Amino acid sequence: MNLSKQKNERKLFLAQRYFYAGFAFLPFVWAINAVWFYKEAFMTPPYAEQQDIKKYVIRSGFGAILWAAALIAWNIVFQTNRVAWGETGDDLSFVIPQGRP
Amino acid sequence: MGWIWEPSRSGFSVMLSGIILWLISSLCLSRADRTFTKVYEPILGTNACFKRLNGTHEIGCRSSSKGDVGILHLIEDKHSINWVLKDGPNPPYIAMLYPIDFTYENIIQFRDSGRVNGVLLLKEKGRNSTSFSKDSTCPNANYGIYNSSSPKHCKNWNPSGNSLLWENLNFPIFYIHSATETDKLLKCFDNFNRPVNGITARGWPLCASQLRSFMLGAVDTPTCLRRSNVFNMNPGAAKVCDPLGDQNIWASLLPHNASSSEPYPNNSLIVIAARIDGASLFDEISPAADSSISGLITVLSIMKHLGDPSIRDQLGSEEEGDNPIKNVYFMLFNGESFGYIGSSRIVYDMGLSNFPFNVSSIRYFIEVNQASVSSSNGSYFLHQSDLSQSKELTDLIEKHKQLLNLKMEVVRPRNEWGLPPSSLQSFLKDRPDLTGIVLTNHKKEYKNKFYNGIFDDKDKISYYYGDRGVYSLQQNVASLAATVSNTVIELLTSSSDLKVTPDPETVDELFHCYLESANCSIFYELTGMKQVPKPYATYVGVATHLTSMSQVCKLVASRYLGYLVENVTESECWKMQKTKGYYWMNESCYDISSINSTEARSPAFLIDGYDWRSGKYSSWTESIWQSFSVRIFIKPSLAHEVITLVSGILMLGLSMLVVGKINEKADIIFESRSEALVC
Repeated sequence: MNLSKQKNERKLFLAQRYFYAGFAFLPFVWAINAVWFYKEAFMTPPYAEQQDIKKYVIRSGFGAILWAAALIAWNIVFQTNRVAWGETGDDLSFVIPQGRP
Repeated sequence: MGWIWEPSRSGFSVMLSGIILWLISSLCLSRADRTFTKVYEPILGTNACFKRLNGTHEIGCRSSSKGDVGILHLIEDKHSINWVLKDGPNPPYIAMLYPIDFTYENIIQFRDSGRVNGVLLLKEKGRNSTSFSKDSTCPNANYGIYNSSSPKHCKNWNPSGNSLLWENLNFPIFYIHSATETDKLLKCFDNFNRPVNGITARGWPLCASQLRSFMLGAVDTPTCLRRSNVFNMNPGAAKVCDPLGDQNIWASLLPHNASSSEPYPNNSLIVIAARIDGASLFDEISPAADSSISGLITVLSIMKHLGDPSIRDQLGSEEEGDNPIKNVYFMLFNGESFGYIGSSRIVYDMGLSNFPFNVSSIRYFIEVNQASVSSSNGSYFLHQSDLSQSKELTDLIEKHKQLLNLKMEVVRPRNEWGLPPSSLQSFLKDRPDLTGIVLTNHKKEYKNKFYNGIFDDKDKISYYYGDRGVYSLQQNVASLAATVSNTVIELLTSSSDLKVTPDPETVDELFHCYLESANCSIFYELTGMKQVPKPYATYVGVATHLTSMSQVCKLVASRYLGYLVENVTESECWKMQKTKGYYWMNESCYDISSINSTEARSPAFLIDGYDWRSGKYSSWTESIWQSFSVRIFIKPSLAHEVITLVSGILMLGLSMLVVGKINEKADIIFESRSEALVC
């Protein structure tokens, strides 16, 4: 979809829809929202709905970054501690490595 | 113009002509091998060291999943060891060594140096090593009757043992049993790697080797079993280890119908036992000539003596109630090398009443261990359990061995060495006052310098097929078997009229089958088919797979203890296999319902919530592996390798650029024909 060809109300609707959809544990939707509407929110000449779009873009972006930080932190904790956790570590693994602890 | 057969402007045509050129060239060169066969030379005829795990840790060898590479270096003296450990300029190395240098110190140094990526054990040429045992100095000490605080816990029974079998080595080790492959390795080393004058390193290229023995199991038994059982879309695909185990073979001499007759009273049975299995560091090679086969054949020979109709009919005619001894049970235990798996399982089954009798029914437990004696000054030794009441038994044995001129010394019980490692210890753990004896060829230290090793073969026990001389192995083992048989006959009949004479012919044939070639007349008669003309490996293997070794032991026992059923055709016999336990072998039908095989898997794998750290039962598992391979290749220097790779990538980029440019300018370079020909 080419955003620049959409009506402003439609843009706001989409940004809002994506923002709320992200709450369903879908950080990628927030990330897409932030990137996709970045130009609309900050680069295009002002229009009535832009303030709201900006709000959703910032919030989506913030949410996505928070998610990413949390996931990366968990990944580091998991990777460094999986062996020490023993059985719990295996239970948390989807693919159990073969031939090593 | 026109070196391309069809001038064209389209990219598609350029690609097409490329494909056609490739097809033509590959047709012309269709006899050429694949690239890797030009680079690598496979080394066949190898046996790999592999991984085993127990309740707390892992032992044995593994390579990385892609295989470990190193420069070949032959260990000949102290200098070459130092070369590999610190002086050599091109680590990592693959150390090649002869059995004499395959010592605990060397291997552990290699492992810890970080400069050795693997070891190849070469077959010795000419000179034979004088000892080679990788088992511990006190085999199975942790599973025996003496706890770790007792001074008898770990006596130096096996002084040649260096415990490498129980070390976590974590690099690949292979035994090269083929002489031609050994020569191939040595030639490659001499031509490319051998330092000039023994001190100056040779320049690149060098002869390198890649060893692959990747193991899926890791950490310990509870971990690998847990990982084997995780949910998987493809059931069984996640399996990374299997418990060790096979089958115990046990049989009663006289008929006993468990359902109709009364259970055996206390102290009413004689058990005659031996173990089936041996062990070694390497896959598929565990001859165990003295370690287990000698004792096994002694017991098989006793079966033959007592199961002979002329003897057995008189043993069975004894009036009920007259004699306290009611029956004789033969037991062949499997997996004994790895923490008494077989015997501990039978004792466990007895405790759960899953066995025709329990430990308290046993009056005498007679075990034959290492039993090879083949010289004029060799002797047998009779060891007794500490609390045993065996005077009657030892007196009888003394009497009968004198009649047969067998050399045997009765070792004083409760001596400072205690009972040698034996299956009897599993029974004594359950009933310390059990009267048991262990017949061996050693009083203290093992006479066998190759206990549970790859060289514990027929040469080490001086077995020569056909030699039945006075001091031969065959004669000694046959006399031992006859002595025990006569003792048991006298215990059963309370008279000394009935006797058997030693049968060195049978012993000779059995040794031939078990040590030289399974393709022998006895096994052929029993299995009805030709076997591979080499001895069976004695290693117990994994519980999910039965070994030929235990199967054939059951057949031999069936042949000696089964009852001949007359006037039955082959097809009728097979029909009654399920219902009556009939079995067709040796061109006749036998009732073998009294010969049983039960699972020899450690109770540790049966008990719910077993504490793996307790060490009460054997917890050994064997890791799954995918493949073993050893190959050699000529390795250029790192700089050479980098230059080759980089120039290759440059060539690729360059040719893509050229093709792209040519394609772009195709209508200028190639003259256009009539438009009709062009797509």
